[in-house]
Amino acid sequence: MGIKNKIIKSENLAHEYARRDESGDVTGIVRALDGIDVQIEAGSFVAVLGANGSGKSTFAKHLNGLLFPTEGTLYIDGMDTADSENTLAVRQTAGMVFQNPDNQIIANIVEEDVGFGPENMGVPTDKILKRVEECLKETGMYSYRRHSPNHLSGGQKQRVAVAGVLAMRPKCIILDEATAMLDPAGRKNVLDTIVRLNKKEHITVILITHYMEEVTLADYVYVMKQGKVAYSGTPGEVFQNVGMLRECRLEAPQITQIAQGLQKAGIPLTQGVFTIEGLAKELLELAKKR
Amino acid sequence: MSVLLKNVSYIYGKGSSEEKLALRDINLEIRQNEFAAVVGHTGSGKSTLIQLLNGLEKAESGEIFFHGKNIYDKDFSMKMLRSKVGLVFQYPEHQLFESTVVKDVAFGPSNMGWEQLKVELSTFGALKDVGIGEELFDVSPLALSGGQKRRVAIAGVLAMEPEILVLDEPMAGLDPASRKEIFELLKKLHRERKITVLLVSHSMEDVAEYASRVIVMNQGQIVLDGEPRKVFRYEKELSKIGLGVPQATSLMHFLAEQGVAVEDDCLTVQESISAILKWLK
Repeated sequence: MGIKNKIIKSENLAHEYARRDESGDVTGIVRALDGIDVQIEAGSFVAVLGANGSGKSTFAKHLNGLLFPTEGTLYIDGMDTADSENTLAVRQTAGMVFQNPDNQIIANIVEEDVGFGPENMGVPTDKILKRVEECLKETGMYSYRRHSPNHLSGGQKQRVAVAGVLAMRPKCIILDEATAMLDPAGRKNVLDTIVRLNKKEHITVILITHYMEEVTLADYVYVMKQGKVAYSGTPGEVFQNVGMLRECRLEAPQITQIAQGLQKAGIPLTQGVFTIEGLAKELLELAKKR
Repeated sequence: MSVLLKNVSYIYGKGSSEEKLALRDINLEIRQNEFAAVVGHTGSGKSTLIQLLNGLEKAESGEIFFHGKNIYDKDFSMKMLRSKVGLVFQYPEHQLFESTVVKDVAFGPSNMGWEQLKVELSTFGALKDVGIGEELFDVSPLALSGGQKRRVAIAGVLAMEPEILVLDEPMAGLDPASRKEIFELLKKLHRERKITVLLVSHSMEDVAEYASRVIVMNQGQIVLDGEPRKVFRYEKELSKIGLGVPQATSLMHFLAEQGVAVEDDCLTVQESISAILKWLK
């Protein structure tokens, strides 16, 4: 397969940095990424899991051109991120939404914030206005366009941040624990928006998260451990591998755990069930037969 | 009785154009040695409520009693209150600042005016209780892992020997194993130190497993208050105010709605498995 339909492709990607003490002397070398080989197809929805400190966020920063490989190569839509001439195009191709909504909103009015990215890219004003309108409608925040971001809830702020990334017309959106600080309703709104963008606009989504239920939305999952990809597969495959999950300090969502417990007790269920409705349906059919 | 709130109201941004009634007429008793959770969507008043408890914010009206004494009385010592009601903020590791773990944890007790020996005893006792080993004592707190940092931050509050430990989303941003470790730690402190735990959480799964009481807030008011098993029966009502119930509970509610005769007040994975097996037998 050519490099063309792989929006993200890394070969032996590594990132090392020096750990320094208070006076700035080097006390050691940390290998935060240690030989990452991934190929992500354009239009897919990929989740990245891993314990705190496993290298997820470092990886995300590479995708967005905030960090550069110290070894190996990373291509974003065919562009080598190590080439500084590509940096702007890489950032435009792969937009990032961070964890804390308050750290990434800069303007006093929602629509100005969303227009900030395209304005910096030199997009003509009439086109900016059109894009801002479209992106705010896309994230369901259009009715708040004249509001101050300060008065929005966490989930609303994150949707504005997503709109701000969208306004740069990226092919890929990376969410680095972007739902971690949100309440359940806020989390759902952001996820619904992301799923819609993936399905309708075919934007590639890279979702970095600690919430296992969110992972069930993904087509494919990478599990990271100590800077390496420890395991990869579909959500069903990943959640079935209980030993690996434990080793990587993760766990399956409750519904999957229940299904696994029932299977152990001899109830014949299909593998990889992880929605409430899905499991309930299977159980009801089983009950009918008995 | 340890903390009692009587008709407490709080106005956010008073006098500004943003004025908002953040808490309205709250009546609440936090009993000694409870393990309680406060849940509610963003802006429901949870954080304001917990900041009132140690005097960080002052109520607009109403009274708050600590062991029967009105904390707004002139001769009431706020300093004493702040040591007895220890507040652990969201992302507490952002507030670590000393050059070593021990110095960071000792910062609070040193400010209490205690003699050196007592400061050291409480510091080392707290570090031991949160499971931070001696090999980390002289390390910079910034060099620790996410879970370790959070433990050190909790130790810093614990070292002031509070009677009540109040935590604002202590699990946010941690991986599943670290979440569990922090919860097990709180459970141990609750049991061994006889400490009262009050925490704010967005994870209903965690609340169901660990808390003995859930206080649900919406628009500045307490709308539900009771044992998790009772509170999580109200899935529809909770969903209306942006909250949910654990997946294990929701599955059983769903089955019951389909007309299946199952125990539908399960809280954990294990309980749901048992109930389903019983039904299918």
